[in-house]
Order: sequence, then C-alpha cells, then structure tokens
Amino acid sequence: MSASKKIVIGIAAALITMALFSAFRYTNTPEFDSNGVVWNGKQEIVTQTEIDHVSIPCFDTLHFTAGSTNQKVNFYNPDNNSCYMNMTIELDETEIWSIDNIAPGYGVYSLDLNEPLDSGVYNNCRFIVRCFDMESNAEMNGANVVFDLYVD
Amino acid sequence: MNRFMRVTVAATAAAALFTGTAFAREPEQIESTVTYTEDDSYFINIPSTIQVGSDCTVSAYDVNIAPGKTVKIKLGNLWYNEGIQLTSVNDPTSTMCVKFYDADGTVFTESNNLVSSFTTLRNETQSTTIRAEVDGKDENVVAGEYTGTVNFDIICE
Repeated sequence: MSASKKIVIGIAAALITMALFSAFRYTNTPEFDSNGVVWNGKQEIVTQTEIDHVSIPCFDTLHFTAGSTNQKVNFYNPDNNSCYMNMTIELDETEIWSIDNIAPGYGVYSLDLNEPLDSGVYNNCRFIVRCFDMESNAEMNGANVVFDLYVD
Repeated sequence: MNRFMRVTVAATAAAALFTGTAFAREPEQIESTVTYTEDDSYFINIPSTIQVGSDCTVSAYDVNIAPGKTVKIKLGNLWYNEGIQLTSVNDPTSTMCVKFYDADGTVFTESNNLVSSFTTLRNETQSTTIRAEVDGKDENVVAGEYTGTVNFDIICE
C-alpha cells in the first residue's frame, strides 16, 4: 500500500470516528430538569402604584329582559386589583341584586334579580362596588357607578 | 256560456297573466335599516386607601364613550361636616373629620364635589390629584389608627 493511500485511509478513518463520536454524543445527551417553569408568555406584573389603586370597570347603560329574574351581565373584578369586591344594583335606592366576595380575575355573567322588572327605562340606577382587603378584610374605598337601565 | 261571459273570462285571465308577469319582472324591494349600538365603557382607578396628608390620584383609562359625553367623578359621601368621618380602630367613640382638597387647595364640599371630568380618548389615561387633611378632632382624641372610606360617584353623561 502506498503512502498516499495510507494517508487517505487514515483521514477517512478519523472522519468516520469523529462522525460516530458526534452522533453518539448528541443521541445520548442526558435530559435534566430545568430550573424555572414552563414559559407561557409574559405575565402581568403588578406595580406598587397599581396595588394602591382599585380599577373599576364602568358603564352607563344596562339592558335587562322584562318579566324575568335571570339576566345576562358582564360584571367583573379586574385581575390587576388586589381586593375582593361586593357588588350591588340599586334601583330607586332599593337593592334588586347583590353579590359578595368577587376575587380579582372573577366575575358574573348571569344573575338573578330579587324581583322581575316591568318594561321601561329606569334612570339613575346605581352599581355599587365595595372593596375589601384580601388579608385583613378591612373595607377600602369604593365606587357608585350611575347608569340607565333599559328593560325590554 | 254566452259571448259576454266568454269575453269577461278572457279579459280577467289576460289581466291576471299581465299582473303576474309584471310582478315577476319587477320584484318588490323592501329596505331595512341595520343599526348597532356599542355601549359606553371605561375604567376608573380610585385609590384603595388614602393616607391623610398625602396626595393620591384618580384616573380614567380605556375610555370608549360616545362623542359629547363626559365621565364625571365626584366625592360621594361628604356628609360629615363636608368631609368624611374617621373612627378609631381602638375606640369607636373617638372620631375625627377629614376633608379633601384639589391640587389648587380648594376644599371639596357636599355641593362642590366634582373631582374631575374625563373625555379621554381610548388608549390614553388622564388623572387628577386630591389630598386629604384632618379638619377637626376632639381634644380627647385617642392615639392609634383611624379608618374611614370614601365612595366615588361615577357618572357618564
């Protein structure tokens, strides 16, 4: 065997050895548990400024169905809040519905009124939001949202 | 069937045929107006607690209201000497009055309780600052923490 053939064979053997080594190395990479958690996109980071405030979703009109106690609504406690909410609807200073302890990120899609309502427009109704600290349950500042109720 | 009857029947049939042909060629069009109303909606940020002697802000954001409307925020319960009553956590008989002031130092009263009016466009935030100060307290006021709550009246009109 000539010297040049020996060199070619040697280089080929070296390349094959390197390829096999690389393949073995990648196929046998040990799996290890990662620190952290599975990434599901950016989270909302609540700043101190936001913690010091309560965000109130407001509206100026509601639509109810006449003659029925069950009504569809979109009442919720925004998830950037850090308080429980008690919600009440008053009509002419008479409570027609209320719910307590709505945590941040929770809400109400369906409610049952104390009494069914007749058709008409009820002006200056009040959606009363009372807020409570989630640890001490101390009452915080609240809001009264004035709205017009259309019952059809 | 006499001649008169035949003529009448033939005329009626021709008229019916003509009328039917006319309707087929010119279908009646009925217009219907499609309407939709997007209700006004907005968020108000109120201070969860107010530290007496410090400024605090009230703001509106994501305001989506019809043109010409204004969101008004008022102090709703200034019933105690034009302010609110704070009560001692340790002694419920010990109280004091806290009044609120705007950025210019004007005191809010039961009849002058408008904190701010917002007509903000969407994706903008507007805020206003108020300040709470102790207005009057008994000479026998006891030491310790005092609490009370403010209710903000919010109306869009």
